[in-house]
Amino acid sequence: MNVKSDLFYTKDHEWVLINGDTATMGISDHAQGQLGDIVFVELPEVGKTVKIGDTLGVVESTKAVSDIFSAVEGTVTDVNTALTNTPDKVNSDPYGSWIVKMKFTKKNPELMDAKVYSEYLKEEHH
Amino acid sequence: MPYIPHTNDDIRSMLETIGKKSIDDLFTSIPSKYRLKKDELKLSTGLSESDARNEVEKLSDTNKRYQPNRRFMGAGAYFHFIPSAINHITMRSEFYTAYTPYQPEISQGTLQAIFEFQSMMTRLTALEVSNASMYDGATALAEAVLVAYHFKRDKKKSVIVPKNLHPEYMAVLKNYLSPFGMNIVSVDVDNKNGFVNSDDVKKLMGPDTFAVILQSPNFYGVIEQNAAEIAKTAKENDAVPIMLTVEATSLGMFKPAGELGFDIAVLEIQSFGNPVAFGGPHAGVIVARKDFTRNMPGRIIGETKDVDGKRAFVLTLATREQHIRREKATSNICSNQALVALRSSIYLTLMGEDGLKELSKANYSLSHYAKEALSKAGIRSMFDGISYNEFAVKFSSGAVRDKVYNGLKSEGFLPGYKIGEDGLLITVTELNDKAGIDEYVKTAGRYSK
Amino acid sequence: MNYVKEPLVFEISKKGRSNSYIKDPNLDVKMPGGNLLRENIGLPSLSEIQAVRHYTHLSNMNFGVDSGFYPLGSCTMKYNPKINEDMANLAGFTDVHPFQDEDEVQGSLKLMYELGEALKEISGMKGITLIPAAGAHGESTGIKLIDAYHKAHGGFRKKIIIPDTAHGTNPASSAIAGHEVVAVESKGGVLKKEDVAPLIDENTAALMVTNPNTLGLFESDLAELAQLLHSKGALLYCDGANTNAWMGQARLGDMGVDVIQYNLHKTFSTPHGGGGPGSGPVVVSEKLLPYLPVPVVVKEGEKYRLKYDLKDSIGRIKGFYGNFLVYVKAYTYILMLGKEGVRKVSDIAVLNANYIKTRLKGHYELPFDGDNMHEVVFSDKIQNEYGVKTMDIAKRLLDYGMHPPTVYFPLVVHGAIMIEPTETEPKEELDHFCDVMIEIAKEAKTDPKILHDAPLSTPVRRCDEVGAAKTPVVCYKD
Repeated sequence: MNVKSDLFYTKDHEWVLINGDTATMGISDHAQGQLGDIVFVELPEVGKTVKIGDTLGVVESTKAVSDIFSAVEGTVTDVNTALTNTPDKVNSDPYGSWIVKMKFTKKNPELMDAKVYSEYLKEEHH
Repeated sequence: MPYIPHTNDDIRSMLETIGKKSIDDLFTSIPSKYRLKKDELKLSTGLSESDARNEVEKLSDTNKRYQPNRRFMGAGAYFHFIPSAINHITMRSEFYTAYTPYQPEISQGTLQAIFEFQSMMTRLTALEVSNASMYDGATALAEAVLVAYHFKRDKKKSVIVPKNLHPEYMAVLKNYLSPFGMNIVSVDVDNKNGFVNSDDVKKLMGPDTFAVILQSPNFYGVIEQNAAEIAKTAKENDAVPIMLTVEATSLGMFKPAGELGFDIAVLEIQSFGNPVAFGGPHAGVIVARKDFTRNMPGRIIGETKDVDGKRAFVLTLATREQHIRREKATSNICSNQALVALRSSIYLTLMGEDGLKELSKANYSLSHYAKEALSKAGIRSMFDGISYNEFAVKFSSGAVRDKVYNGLKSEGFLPGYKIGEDGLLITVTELNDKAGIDEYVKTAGRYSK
Repeated sequence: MNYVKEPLVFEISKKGRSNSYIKDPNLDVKMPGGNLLRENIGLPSLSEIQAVRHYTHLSNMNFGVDSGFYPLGSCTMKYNPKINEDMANLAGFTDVHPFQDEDEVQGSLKLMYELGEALKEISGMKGITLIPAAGAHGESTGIKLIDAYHKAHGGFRKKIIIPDTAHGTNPASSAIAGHEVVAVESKGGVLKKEDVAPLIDENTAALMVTNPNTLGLFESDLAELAQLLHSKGALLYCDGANTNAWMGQARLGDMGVDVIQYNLHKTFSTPHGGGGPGSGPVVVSEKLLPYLPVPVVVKEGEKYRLKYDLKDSIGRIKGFYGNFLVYVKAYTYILMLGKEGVRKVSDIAVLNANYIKTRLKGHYELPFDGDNMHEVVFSDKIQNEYGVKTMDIAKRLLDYGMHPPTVYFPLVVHGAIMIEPTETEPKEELDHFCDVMIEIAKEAKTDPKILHDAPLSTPVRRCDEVGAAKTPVVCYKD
């Protein structure tokens, strides 16, 4: 299971890249593996404001749907519209396939770094 | 016992395999105080097939069935010609005894037939994506309004609905929308013409409006001739225009929703080869522009390939549906009216392009012939707007209307559907003929004097 | 299943071909002007024989109960008696308009009334609406009734408690009515009073259970759960999808249930039609009588009427009166069964399921080994060891000429295989099925490739569902 070292992770298996007051989010390698072949990514509107844990969008495979929960409080500044036509990129390159960019004021205090997330995955698997 | 193939020996040997003494021992998880004794239910004893047939036929004989050319009632359920081939094909038990096509390998028949159905629906409405059908037109309209609501991300709460919408559709709509705290805004009907004026819609349009419904032909049978302008107004105000057609055979001649600029069309497809049958089963369908694909409720069949590269059809976009989305689903429908949709497909196949056009024209001609003849006999139409196969007439009083209605009935006519205090909604289809219409008009004229 | 390929109806079409069903009435009526009229539609044009052959070929690529064993769990794919179809095709039913005056439709109204009485008696409930068009439609209706009751008794209650074994429709039906769904785990396969009790409070609208549940186990605590709920002002909803297990043996109404939705297309032998039309009547306890949707069929003296003036009714849930022709089929079936037959149905349905359970136990993992009623849920755990999954087993069954059981449901069982034989299957058919299942279990050990490649004998094999969902092609384009 690929866990990228410079990212933070949520318990719901989103990854977050923090850069100043900008957070970039996607779903982890583990999450894409659980979902299977992804066929659709529903993106939020730019300008939408959310709290921690609010739904930002949805990732769909043929057999399952998974909400993307926001790891931060803030405003959506950009969405990866390329995923609309190539949702399978989330499977082949989960860390290269960002889904939303947010300008944030607060982040989830329970974010895990790569080491803790790797442990979390092991635990969840048992 | 009918339909149970077990011999006593079978039952004995099966119980032995299971390791139980009696069948009753299989029901021990039902607390004993709730177990019923044999024969405790207050139902009659079972009948033989011939006795059951007699019983049910007796009920069917109790109903009054009018001669086909003496039926003048519509109002949402229409008497039309049904080619014999339809029953013969739908009675093939590979179709009607199958369930939902969950296993595409052995369900290509149902799947391809519904794919063809969807294709016919998109063509009829000049739109791009159709679902596999829904319970009926009324519930489909309500679901379509919810599609529009979710499409606008649940932010706006007002839907504009014309006063000439079929009253039962209005009632169902109210019921479906009740948990969402929405405003149903009624738009007036032009008194003289019976259709909706676009200015009246414009006046009611606001930042909270997410959808505008129009029914054409509307409940009074009138074609909404400002439809294109109303659709345009809706879109300019960021609302979804929805066109409802209850008498689907009108699509054989009148411009379809897509050409008029509507985003969503809702059809009741009973007219396509399905009997009126005391109100059901009928079926509705939602057809829309491509952008709405992932918001559509109900089943959708898609084309794909199998492992050998052969064309194949499957249930697709299943993640929209309740069995995957569970509490996040936006609709709980998990079936369709598959057999009604199949009948409609067969009907459209048999009628064909030219046949449906001829049928529409025949409906138009016969009903306008009747309308003019009634007018000459002193029974005037309520509205001047162009109608299809149905029109409303008005009598000088409720008493006269009832006298005409009862008089027609006493002479073997199903007169029409009473509307308001003194009106009658009259429907004329290809099952009517000139001789029958002439007699109807003469009779109505006589009783109206 | 002789045909492996049939062109689309549009590919057989030829412009200008017509069956001339409609004769021009030859009246001097001018078509409307303006730009109201359309040009082309794009419908196919076939002769009658081509159309008949096209659909016959399609039917040959389908599998129904008449084709073979169809143990689709939770769907009750029993035999559909032929007399039902004949009765529903009587012109006295098909040619009657829903708006004809009541004195002209007494036959239809009486049939609806009598069917309603029978369904009330079977469940021990006090009121009924036949109108819902399907099980899910019945569920929404039931929830609306519950909401109407609470609104009249202190206000809307937000929470609906639903066990993890529930059909996906239960949470969906609750959520679309604005409810919050509270999940409760069924430890050991059935609900325990003590697990549910702490979840019930004054904001609980109802508990929604399926009985027997989707593991095929009877919820023995049901009556106590009803008491518990009622003591907090909450109600008990029971999904009646599995009525085939208890009909004639017990009445859920006697246990304190407030709402049940039936599925006439499951329990009462009306055909599934490839996905509909079904019918999902809702029966209710005394408390919910005032809220039933309109119209309600009533008997006054010897006359039957449609009653609309119910001031507390939830209103109208569908056009007209529901899927009437489906009622004709269910009514005919109940007439033929009678009280002794109704009970015999569940006797044998439960016997058949337990027989399969006994014969397959050991060959397939049985995750919840309780007292099964009309269905049994196995899993693919033993076969997983050889790299074989539930889907492989299902597809292999196709090669043996049978419809697979319900797979991957209920969700509480990983790789579930849910088998419901129904009472209409003879012992010989059950034995054949079990022999085949045991053979497949052997193949999984010795030749798993054959399972991965299955099916080999069907018109198409293992379709690309990912491709279909990624770039949806949902209609034919020339």
